[in-house]
Amino acid sequence: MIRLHRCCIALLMASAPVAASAASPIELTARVLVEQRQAAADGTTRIVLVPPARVTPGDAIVYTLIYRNTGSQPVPDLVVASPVPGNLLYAGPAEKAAVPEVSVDGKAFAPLAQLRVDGRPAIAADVRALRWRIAAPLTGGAAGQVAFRAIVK
Amino acid sequence: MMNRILSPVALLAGTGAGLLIAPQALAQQVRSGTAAGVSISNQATVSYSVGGSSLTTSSNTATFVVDKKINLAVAELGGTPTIVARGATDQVTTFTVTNLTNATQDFRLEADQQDVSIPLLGTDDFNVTSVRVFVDSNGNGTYEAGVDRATFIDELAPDATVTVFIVANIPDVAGITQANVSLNAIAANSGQAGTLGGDVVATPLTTPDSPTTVDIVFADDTGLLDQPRNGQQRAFDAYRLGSAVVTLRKSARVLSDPVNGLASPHAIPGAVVEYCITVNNAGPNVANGITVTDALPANTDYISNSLTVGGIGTGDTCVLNGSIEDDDAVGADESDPYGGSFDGATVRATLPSVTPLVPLNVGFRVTIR
Repeated sequence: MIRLHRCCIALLMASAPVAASAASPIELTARVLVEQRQAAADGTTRIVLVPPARVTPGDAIVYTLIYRNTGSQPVPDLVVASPVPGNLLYAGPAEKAAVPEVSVDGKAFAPLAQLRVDGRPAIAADVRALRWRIAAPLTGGAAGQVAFRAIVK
Repeated sequence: MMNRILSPVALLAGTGAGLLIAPQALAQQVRSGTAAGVSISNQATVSYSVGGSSLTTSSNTATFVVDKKINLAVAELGGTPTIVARGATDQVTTFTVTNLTNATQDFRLEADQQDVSIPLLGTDDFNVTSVRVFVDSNGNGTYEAGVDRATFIDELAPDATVTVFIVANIPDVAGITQANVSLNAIAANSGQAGTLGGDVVATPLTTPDSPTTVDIVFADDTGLLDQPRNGQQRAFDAYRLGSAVVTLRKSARVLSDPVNGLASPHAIPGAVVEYCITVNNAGPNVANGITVTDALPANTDYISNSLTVGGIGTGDTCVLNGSIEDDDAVGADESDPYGGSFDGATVRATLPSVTPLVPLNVGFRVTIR
């Protein structure tokens, strides 16, 4: 009995992201990758995303947040939020990703151009938190993702 | 649930305040960057409404470890060569070494002589001797023999800078002008104070990547005679001989005496004595506008119109006479390249220029009373 129980917990931890509520139909997975420049065969340099095994200051990190409705009912008013970790500088949304509302204090969210810090216009380095408001209800079984770039200080 | 949403916010309020108070601290941190080994975690949240009530779910925590980025800067201090004299000892050129690694490092120091001339610095035509390298242990920017004794940089913190001296002796050889030297700093492993660690080795690309271990990545730039991404940096300086070192040498020889004539003359009253002053320039540059003055010795009489200036001198004798000068300071003989005069007490001679290693003579004659 006990052994079985342990097994299930382990399984849960491995596969499912931390579930806040047993009744939660929404599942959120965070993935972190690092940009790496690679020489392509045609002589150009392309940027690929690789697991963050070798990360040094100055590298660009891409966080991808994947949300999924595991239930069968549509879920409205979806808001995905993420802090910018302390040693990172926010560097805008990732390629082809939705532009988030940003916050310099974690409370007020707005487009970056509308925020001010110490009386001056806020810059990307001031951003401490991000928020995406998903307009359309997420239908059952559907998934989506948002992503942002950050530079390691 | 609400705490979940607020927790990152509460955490951010603190860091946000820190950022506002100390923007310079932020700038400094950015230079070498986040310390190696720091684990960066992020947890996102998603909130939504179900049946009119708001719910929140947190994501997994995405984590990676910041690796060690080996970088350093070596710079020459002062921007000009050290001006030295021939035969001088313990002559110093000064450099700085800055640790731009996001971790504390030792640095091995190599002082090198440049055999090839570097156009930026000038032509290298000799090597200094007894080349040593020392760290400015007390941080006062001045080399002190016996005080600054460390020969490697020990446990240099991220973004910290130390001064390093190359100390060398200048050979006493005629004709030398400049010696170029360089300081090469090599990142070495830290961890044991007082001991120089082995050179840092980058984690091979073939090593399997792990997000949880600290790998070592070389990030130093390329430079003159320095390969990129090798954990080394080099800077150059030079020792340059002072622009002209002029020395005088005076000799006398008896030309004739009233008893023996020209054969084996002796310095007896009535004897004619020739003084020869040799003006030598050890270089490396031409010395200009030289004036030689010599007070007439006691108990001698100047022989009128015996002054010659500009002869090429070797040894102690005026073998080749220069241009003959009259005794006043005006006239046609003053407008040839050389000039000379005698005012009753002092012999004066002017030489417009003396090139290195071509000594010129000033000669005049007296009779012994």
